[in-house]
Amino acid sequence: MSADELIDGLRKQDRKVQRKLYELYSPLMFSVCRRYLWSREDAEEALVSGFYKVFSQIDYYNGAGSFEGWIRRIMVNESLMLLRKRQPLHFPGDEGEFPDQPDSFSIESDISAREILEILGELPPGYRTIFNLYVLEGLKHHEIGEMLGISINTSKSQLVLAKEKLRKILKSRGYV
Amino acid sequence: MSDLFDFFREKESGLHERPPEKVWKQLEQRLDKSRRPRRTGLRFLQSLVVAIILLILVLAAVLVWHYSAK
Repeated sequence: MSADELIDGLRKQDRKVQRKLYELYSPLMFSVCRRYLWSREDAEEALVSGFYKVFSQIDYYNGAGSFEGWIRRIMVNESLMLLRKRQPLHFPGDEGEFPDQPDSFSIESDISAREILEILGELPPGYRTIFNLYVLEGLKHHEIGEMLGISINTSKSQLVLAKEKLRKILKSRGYV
Repeated sequence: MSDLFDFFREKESGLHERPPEKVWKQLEQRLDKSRRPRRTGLRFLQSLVVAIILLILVLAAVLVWHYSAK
């Protein structure tokens, strides 16, 4: 089934096509939700809300940009909404200038997916959110600022602090 | 040597995980629920129209009977 046929079926609210799309994208989208929401139950809730929105708002997809990217953005928004509902996001730390400096150091590469999630789960929600949006969604600091209602500098500083925290966590676990 | 961000980017695909079947069931329930009010609303409207027609017929019959008895 081509992407056009899939989208056409979704516009007709065809349950078989909805199931097909769910089968295709739910493993990736579940991992997206889990990265933002530490609790598995919350990630499941965000996934249900996200797919419900995908199916009910399919007419808003105008073909600009990838379909996967459109679904992913919905999942990120649903996860952030739930995260804020559970606890308001705090962005502690200095809001001064933080240069984006790439750093290199040895990391053990045989870390399991479960351990990666555990490591991300150890980050405070504010750090984790900025880290996810910048590193894994590929958003720019000004986009993150608009999305979360924070300044560009806050986004940058949170990313630097998240990196520091990650480095400490990896070190304490013996991976660095 | 690896950049910390690149490390996590590379590892991301390994995080993919099939959600439990109950998630699809919850989604289906929500989709069914969002369809039901429309059907229920239509059914209610149909019943209302039938009830009004019946009421008019009964009233007309009572009036005819009342005036013919006079």
